[in-house]
Amino acid sequence: MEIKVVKKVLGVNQAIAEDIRRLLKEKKIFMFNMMSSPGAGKTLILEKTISALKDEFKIGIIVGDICTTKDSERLSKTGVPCVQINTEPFGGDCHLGANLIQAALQDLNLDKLDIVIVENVGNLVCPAEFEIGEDKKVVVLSLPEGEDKPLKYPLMFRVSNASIINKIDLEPALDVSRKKFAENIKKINPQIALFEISAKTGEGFNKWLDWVRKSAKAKIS
Amino acid sequence: MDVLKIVKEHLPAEQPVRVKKISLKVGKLTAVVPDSLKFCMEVITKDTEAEGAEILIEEVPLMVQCQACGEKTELAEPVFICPKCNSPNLAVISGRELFVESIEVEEGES
Repeated sequence: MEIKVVKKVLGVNQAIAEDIRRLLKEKKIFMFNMMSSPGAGKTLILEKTISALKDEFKIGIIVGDICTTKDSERLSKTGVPCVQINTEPFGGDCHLGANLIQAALQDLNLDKLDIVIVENVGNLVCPAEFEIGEDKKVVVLSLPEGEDKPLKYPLMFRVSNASIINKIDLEPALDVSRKKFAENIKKINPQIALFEISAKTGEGFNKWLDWVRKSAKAKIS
Repeated sequence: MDVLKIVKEHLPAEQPVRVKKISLKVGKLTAVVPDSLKFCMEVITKDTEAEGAEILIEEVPLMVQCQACGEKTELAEPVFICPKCNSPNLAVISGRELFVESIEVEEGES
């Protein structure tokens, strides 16, 4: 006997993501989901982003880390509320599912926030597949990772609204071309907002901050 | 795991059954590797009604439609440019699927 099913495997996650989206709309909160491979520089970018914007916006942050609290310790120093989603001491989930975000949001006082930032687990594969109710997805890629990465992880770059090319200060030391990075990202997603920055030196950082400002204002006002 | 959950939800409750086949649809533009999914299903169905079931995966090609000239194309590589008019403005019409299509069960055995 054949039984017709036709049910989305990620349907449950999708439904929770929609609930989160409704909640954030009601609370007028802009949420973005920052993803990258491990070591691309998410945490430093976020430390500097929060420091630059915390007087303009009330910011909260949710940090996903496989097994340490190192990132949340660094981000807590910025003085904004920070919720750590810890998985397992010996390595756990490769992504943050909507259910984890829903639980973490309960630990933040949403009536007092304008922006929620989610720092996803370092991985260019799985996080691309899981909606978490965010307004924007941002993918960070750093120059040492190589210009072929957008072509190797097309889904991540296709679903993202913005992409940051980080560590551009290293270009003279590396055998890579910044232009090629940008070209390859645009091949996958011509509409993506692209920022070439160095979180370390601050080069290009203002354009990225302006994008966050503009996106947040569009949602909360 | 969610695949197995969906399968279990759709089994008839009245009598014990054995799942013979699970048919899945997987789009090309997903973070899923069919062979890995197959292997994973074999492992997690152990000691369940679906142990030993055939896992049939139908891959759905990545089809796009150009928003400028209307041309529909199958993309073999992830380069999102219309081959006819070179426009980068393409809408994905298939390739993002990930669902359980149907299951086949055998009644009267457990």
